[in-house]
This record gives sequence, structure tokens and C-alpha cells, in this order.
Amino acid sequence: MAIVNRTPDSFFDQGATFDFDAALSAVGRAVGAGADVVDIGGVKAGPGEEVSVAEEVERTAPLVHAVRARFPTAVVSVDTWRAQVAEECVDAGADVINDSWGGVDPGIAEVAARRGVGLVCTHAGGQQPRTRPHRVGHDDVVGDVIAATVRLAERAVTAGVSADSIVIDPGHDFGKNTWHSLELTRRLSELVDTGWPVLVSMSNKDFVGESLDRPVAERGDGTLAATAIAAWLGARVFRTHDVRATRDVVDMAGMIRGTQLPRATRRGLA
Amino acid sequence: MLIAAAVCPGAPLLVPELATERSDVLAELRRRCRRALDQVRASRPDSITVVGAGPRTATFGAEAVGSLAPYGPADRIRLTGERADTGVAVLPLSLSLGAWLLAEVGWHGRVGGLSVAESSSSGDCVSLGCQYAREPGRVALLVIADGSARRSRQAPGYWDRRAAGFDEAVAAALAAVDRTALLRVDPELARDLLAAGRAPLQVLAGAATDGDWRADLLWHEAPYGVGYFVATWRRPTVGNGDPGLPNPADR
Repeated sequence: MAIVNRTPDSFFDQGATFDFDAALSAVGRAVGAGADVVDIGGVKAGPGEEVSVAEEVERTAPLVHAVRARFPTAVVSVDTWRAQVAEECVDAGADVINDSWGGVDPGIAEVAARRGVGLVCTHAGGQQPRTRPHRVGHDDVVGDVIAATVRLAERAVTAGVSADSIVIDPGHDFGKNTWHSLELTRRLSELVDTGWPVLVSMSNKDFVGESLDRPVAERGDGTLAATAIAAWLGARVFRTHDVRATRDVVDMAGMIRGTQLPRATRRGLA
Repeated sequence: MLIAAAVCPGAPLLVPELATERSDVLAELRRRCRRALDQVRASRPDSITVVGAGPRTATFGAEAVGSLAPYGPADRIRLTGERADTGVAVLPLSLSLGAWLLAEVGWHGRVGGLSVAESSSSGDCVSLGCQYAREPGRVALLVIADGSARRSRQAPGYWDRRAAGFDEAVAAALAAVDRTALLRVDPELARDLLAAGRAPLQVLAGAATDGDWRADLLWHEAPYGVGYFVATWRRPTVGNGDPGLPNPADR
């Protein structure tokens, strides 16, 4: 799942794809590099300038529409916590709603149900959108994450979302400190064991940065290490800023597990 | 009667096991907290009560268990500072940290805990504080209290233009033993600014009744976007009735 932000201020890309054409080019590069899903966002996750519903729609829906037209086989996801934005993007052709703030707007599941699109159910620890964790404690972070994501997934099914259109996301860094995100990654198989497909969103995040004491621009290797382990433990979707490398890491992990065929075996076989 | 009080931050990153970063700032902050507690100990209290914000107002005995484990790799701890292998953790974060701080400086005397609900009115806080003022013996408080968590754009609560002034006013009140100023702090503003120290500091204002006080503001900065205060209030040393006896912790 390739991250493409139409934001002027996201933490990693710092506005590189805020411009419409730049965003569309980034989607082209991501699809060319092997992305199955393109996740389009219009509001940075962290605190900052307020973005109205109208502005968020203006940033995301036209891009969704253009991507739909130009890359008909790509799955298009929209990263939003607002039902109204989700609905407008589904109108424009989005297939998935990535509700990355953990269901703060219950209307999101209803949009997914009514329109027959996919839904990402995320644990954000009850944080309000665009807020940072402050002294958040978890007696059992994995238990909290499983309880919250499964509850959201079941609520979505009750609302009418097709069960095979739902994935769960433990929400690394969202309402969590670095210890929590490391433990979640270590125990990811427990999330996989719920039976819901697991999406991980770890790309260049603070838990990688703090673990390795690296600034944002130097977290790629750490992200890929986490990606390999999450893939080994059974995660199915990987939200990333670096599609080519992520594709290789995930494929390699699958080949080592034996769930995927190597691409070009020749050695010793001639 | 209250004879001394220390104010220290309630940040889990005081605990080196939780905050592994090699940081001069943190090392200095930890040193100042130890110095504050050494100053309180030099006042020879019979007991130290840890006062901090919590989900509800409640008192705790010495054997009450707290835990820093929800924040990372840390032990469960009793208010006495001993490791707790049994018992359910009931102490809020602020009191667990206070217990940890007391253990750090090797306090083995009597301890107690008071958790103050964030929703407590200033009047409630004063009433709670008065109990310590009236208590017989030499009573000391360790007040776990922070300023605003909205001191910078990188702060946990992002930036609020009112935060720096809010913290300055609290620091000035601590430096001047200005109980009236502490009691003037508006609970609603404190909540908006994510200032976890308002209620515990107003308990302190209620406990520190009249008489002479000597204040030492040992630290007042916001290196992680949260206003930290390290301070002490002590009644001038009365060693066998001799006012002004030099205090070894001051050297």
C-alpha cells in the first residue's frame, strides 16, 4: 500500500506530493514499483493547520478520480477519519476507506457498508484525530489492540460491511509509545490469529526513529527490518513510503516462509 | 504540621529504564529531583506523602502498589519504594513515579499517598491540603506536578500561545511561596493546557499554611514540550529550636 499524501506538511514527504500533478506522478511510480493499493490522504496525521471537510475533499477526491481512470487495476484507498470525505472519495472511485483514527466517526462504517467498499479498522487508543500520545499506559497493549480492532471490525460487519472487505491495523505509534509499538510488532502473530487480515503502517514512524535514534530521513532500513518481521509473522498489507523496497522485502519473506515462489530460479539447475 | 515539600515532574521519562536516550537534559533533571528530595529529607520529616493527579481523589497506605509497566519495561513498586511481586497495581502514574523517586533517594521512613482528581475544585484541593497542615508531627509532601504539555509544536499537546505564560506564573508562585497565586490558577485553563499539576499544587497551597517558608526553584524548563518544575518549600531549619541552622542539603 503506497502512501501518497496531498498534504503540504506530512512528516516524511514534507509536501512533496501536495501538488496534484506531483501526486499523480507519485502514484504512477508507486504502481510501477509494484504497489497493489494506493492510499491517498489529505490531512497530515500530526497536529497542525486545521483542514476543513471541503478542503480535504478537494485535496483527495479529484486525485482518486484521476488514479481510478489512469490506473484501473490499482486498488484506491482513502486515508480519512471523516465519513463525509470517505463518501465523496467513494463517489470518485475509491475502493477502500482507511479509517486510521480508529472509528471516531461511526458514520465511516456505514459509508463502507452502503457503498460496498473495504474498511481498515485501526487501533488509535481512543486518541482524537491529530493528537499525540501523552503518558499513555497499556497494561496489555496487544490485548487492548485486539479488543479494539476486533470490536470495530465486528461493528462494521453488523453495519453491513462485507467481512471479506475488512482489515485490522494495530496503529503503530497512534496512542502508543515506542515500547508499545515494539511489543505489538513482536507479538503481531496474536493479531493475525484473530483471523482478520492485518495491515501494518510502520513506515518511517517514531518507534523506528527512537529505536535506532535516527531522524525521519534515516529510518528506511529500520522500517524494512520491521516490515520483514511483520511479514514473517503474517501481516498482509504494508503501508509504505518506499514501494520498491517494501515489495522486495515482503516477497522475500514470503519466499522464505514458502508461501510465495521465487521469481527466477536458475542456479544449479542447468 | 507541614515542614517541607518538594515538587517534581510526573514524566515517565524520569525513569532511565523507560527513557533510554542518553540525554544531558534528562540527567540534569534527575539530579535536580534528587537534590529537591535531599533538601526535604534534611528537614527531618516524620513522614512523606506523595500527592499527585489521578482519576479520582483517594488516599493510599504505604503498602499500596503502583506500576510503571504500562509505560515500558519497569517493575511494580509499593509506595514504600519496595518492589511489589504481589498485589494489584492501584496507584496512578503520578504516585507510582513519586514512589520511584523516593526509592531513588533511599527514603525508608513513613510514606502515604494522595491522588487528587483532576476535576477537583480549588476549594476541594485546599481542604485536602489543610489535613496535612493540621497533622501532628513533621509532615512533608512530595508533590508530583507538571505545567502545560502544550509548550511547543513538538509538544505532546502541540502548541498553545497561553502555555508559556501559564507555566511562568506557576514557576513564579513556586519561587515566591505565593499560595494565593497557586490558588488563582484556573482549573479550566489548566485542563485546556494539559497541565497535570494544577490540583496537586493547590493541595500544596492548602497545606503550606502561614509562617515562614523558604523556597528553592531548582528547575523550570520544558525540554520535551511539557513544563517541568523542580522546587522545594521548607520552613527555615529549626534544629533544636535554632532558626537558620545551615542545611547540609544546600551545600
